[in-house]
Amino acid sequence: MGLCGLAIVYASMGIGMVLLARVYAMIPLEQDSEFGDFDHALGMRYGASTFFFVMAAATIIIGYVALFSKKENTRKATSRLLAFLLQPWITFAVITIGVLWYLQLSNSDGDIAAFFASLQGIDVNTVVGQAHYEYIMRGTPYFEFMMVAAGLGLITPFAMYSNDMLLTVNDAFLIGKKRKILGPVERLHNQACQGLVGTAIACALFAAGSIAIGYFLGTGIDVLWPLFNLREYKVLVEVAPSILGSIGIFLAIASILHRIRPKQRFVRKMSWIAFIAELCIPIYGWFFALTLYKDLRLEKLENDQASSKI
Amino acid sequence: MEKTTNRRDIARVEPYKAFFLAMVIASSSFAGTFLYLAISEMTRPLIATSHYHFNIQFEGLDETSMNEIVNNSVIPLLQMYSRHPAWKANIEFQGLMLEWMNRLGNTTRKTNVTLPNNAGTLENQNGIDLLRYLVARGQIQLIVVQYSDALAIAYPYIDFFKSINYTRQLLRDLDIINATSTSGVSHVVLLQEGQFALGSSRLVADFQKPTGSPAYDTFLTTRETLSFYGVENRAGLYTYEIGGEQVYVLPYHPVPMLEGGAEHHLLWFFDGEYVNDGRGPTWTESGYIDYGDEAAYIGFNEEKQTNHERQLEDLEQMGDVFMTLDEWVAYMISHGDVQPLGKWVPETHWAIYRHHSSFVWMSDTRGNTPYDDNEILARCYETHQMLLATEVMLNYSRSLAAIDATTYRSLFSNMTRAWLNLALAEVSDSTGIKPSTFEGEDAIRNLNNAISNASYVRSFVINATPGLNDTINVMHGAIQILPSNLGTPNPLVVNGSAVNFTTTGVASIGDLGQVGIQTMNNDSFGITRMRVETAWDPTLNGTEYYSVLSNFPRTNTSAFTEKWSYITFTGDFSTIQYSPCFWENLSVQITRADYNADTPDSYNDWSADRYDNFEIYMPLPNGLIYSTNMHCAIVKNCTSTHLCAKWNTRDVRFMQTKTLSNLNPAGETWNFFVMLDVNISQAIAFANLVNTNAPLRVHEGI
Repeated sequence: MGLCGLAIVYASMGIGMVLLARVYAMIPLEQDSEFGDFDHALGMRYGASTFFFVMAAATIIIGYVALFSKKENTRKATSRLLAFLLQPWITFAVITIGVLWYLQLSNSDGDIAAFFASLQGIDVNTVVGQAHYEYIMRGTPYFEFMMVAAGLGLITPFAMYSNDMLLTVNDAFLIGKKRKILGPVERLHNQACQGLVGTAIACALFAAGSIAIGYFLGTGIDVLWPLFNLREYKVLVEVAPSILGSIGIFLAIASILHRIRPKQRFVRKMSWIAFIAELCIPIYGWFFALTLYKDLRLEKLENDQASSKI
Repeated sequence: MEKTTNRRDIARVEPYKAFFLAMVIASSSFAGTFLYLAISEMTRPLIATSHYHFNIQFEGLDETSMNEIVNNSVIPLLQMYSRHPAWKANIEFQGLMLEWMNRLGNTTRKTNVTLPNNAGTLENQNGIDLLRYLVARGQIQLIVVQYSDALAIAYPYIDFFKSINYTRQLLRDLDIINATSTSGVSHVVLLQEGQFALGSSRLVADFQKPTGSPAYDTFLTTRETLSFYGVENRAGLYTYEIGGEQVYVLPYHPVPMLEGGAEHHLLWFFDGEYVNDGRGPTWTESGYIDYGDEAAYIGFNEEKQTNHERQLEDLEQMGDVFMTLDEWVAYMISHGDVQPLGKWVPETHWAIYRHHSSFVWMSDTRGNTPYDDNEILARCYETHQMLLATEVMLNYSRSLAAIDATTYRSLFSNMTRAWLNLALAEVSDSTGIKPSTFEGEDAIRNLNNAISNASYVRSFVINATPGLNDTINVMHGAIQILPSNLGTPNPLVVNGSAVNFTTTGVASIGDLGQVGIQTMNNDSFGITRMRVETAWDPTLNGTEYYSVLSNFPRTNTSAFTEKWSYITFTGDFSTIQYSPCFWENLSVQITRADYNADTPDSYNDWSADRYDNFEIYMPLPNGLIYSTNMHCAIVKNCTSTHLCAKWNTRDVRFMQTKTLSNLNPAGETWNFFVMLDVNISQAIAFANLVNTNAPLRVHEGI
């Protein structure tokens, strides 16, 4: 069922790409501008969305085989295959290619562009060569790649957890032949700690996003109205990041303490507060909070049982 | 069933349960959010509007540039629309564009139009014919208001009126509107460079369709403008009433919005040239094209336009309904998405936040024109006064039957030409962001043409009117022309004056009571005590005031570390009254605390490279700003100083970032009038007497 959930998340992201493409197509697009080519809208609608739908289908099909195949070797092999697909390497690869294309377009006579253009026999130091290479780069799906990377980035926590669980179920591991396979409880504890770090990172990203939106508004570009009003830019630049940053730091400290001293009374209290803080972060916070809750509950049970033995 | 409490049992299942529940949360949140968005997207009507802005004065009156804008940008766009009969759009440009397209006639790019329903083709349509056809077909609706893309909010209403009046006649002459159909021109007003003034409501009564409904009653502005001034109630359309006229305010936004129950978005809202212009070295599908290095000249880049056309085709397939702005306004009214604006929105210009609104036309931050904005604006204002007085004189002469009707019409057409020259000089490009050398020179050239046309009329009228001829040419006397309605039986005073501004002594800043003055980069400063004397206006007669004169030398030399200049009036300006643009006889009262705060700062608080706060700049076309709490008025003499005012609770500052003073090497003498213990009516009357309707003294040679 967890893998079904992941497939739903992928499929939802596919729908999200279609919606994003729809909104993109509604914005006046001036071809000369860096994101003004209408092909990007089509690329997102048909290309980026297809990628996520394929990932959803792959998760279901490979996951089904990995869980229900009668042959252990098949289960292990498909677990490793799916885990391989769910690792963030695709995100890194896609964002790297997308950004490289974009950098070459936005700075078509720069060093990066000059290097790659020379591989194609184009000299960007000439006016004609530069115009030609710009034209080639304009035709690359850099925006679609960036959007796919952003979508994958949003799914990463769920994909990583799923991957982890699948490998655990089949006693498999992605890289290497042998390593210590953690038990479910230890794995849950690790996930709870990772979740705290993940939420701390989410806080940092939200804080950065708040500053970016505030700065954006502060320059007078209020395309986010009515979500944010122009006059709120100082709150977004100064107040919201401070709060989010403080929560993030608290969660990071809680994560360290929860990992090394999970049973200490003070740490447990801190972890419960962290649990509440996590709940404040939509979707991701809830996702991680649930893991933390289960972990704290198991530890409580363990403590109780240890006390009763005494 | 007994609850499992054994750790091993729990450990075996709990992590998986946790994972399962967490994934349920994640997947249901994601799926719920995106499905909700998808369903709401698919079920709402999708409506698109557009306003392509074209400016044929992009390079002043350079004919090559004007021809290329018509041939390589406007006509190809019209051709695109002619291929898609279901598409509708608004195209905005000035009257001069129509005049120029008509003048080009059959020399323009030609078009064969395939008529709908296999009704044949229209062969070889030239630009103006194609435009006329698409307008008649209901596809293209024009937004044509002024003759020139003038900086209307800086000048008196009469300049705006004359420009619009001529344009309406031009529209009739070109058969774009006629006695039975005026739908080819929108009743929505869009002015170049984001100019917005609620005072435009004055057009409602002055320009009407044959049916009696207003020719203009809706004014476009950006959401940003409303947001800047704290209009936070959400509506697709707003109403506001001023001067007894109700108008609509139609905000637009670059991204799709939910308005009138529909998803509304813009197909285009900025320069129409950007749809298809080719500039500089370019690579296209067919290979390398060099459209030329000159920024002034543009080619037709078919690939760019195809990008736009494909986008619109795609939207059409998505079920998008393309509406004209008139249809969109009617749609929102019928769907009830209309609310009162709720508060006064001061006049704006450009993107209010990024470019500091009217401050852009009162400065020379990045441009390379030899003129600073102030001297262009002040000269335009001076020419306005001259033209107005000359027309008064012409009508006076005609009322005495000193000139016959035919001659009058001829001279009146000279005056019309003069007003159009003035409109061309007032074009917003001659000041503001990055004015080029030729733009300042264009403005001065057009002003000289206006003055020349008016001088011809004045000389003719003087020679043809016995009383005037005797006074000026024979007795070498003078007359005073009074555009103000002061209650005089006669708009001309021969060998005398109905209005005198008399110096009564020398004064100092200490005499100004609660009003303080600070200056920067001036080399002289003086205050004189004065009195206005006019037997014709008892409310003003005998009113004392102070004239503040300060000379600002050129700051474009190394002697000045700080290039900018200012004069600041300090005091209680928390609540002010001023005459809104186009309504010189009215006033509105506003309180600074009702708008977003401008944090305390030094003069250099405007910066293009960092986020900024809420500065309010006011054009003040009749020069007046009145402190309600101090009962005092600051009036700029707009023929010497037509800088905008930066308004804050404790000060009003007039400034420009650099004084170039190309017209006078000695610099610029800025003149302000300070009136103490006066009421708003007196202040308005005085401001209009010295600025909007200033009397003109005519003697031999002038």
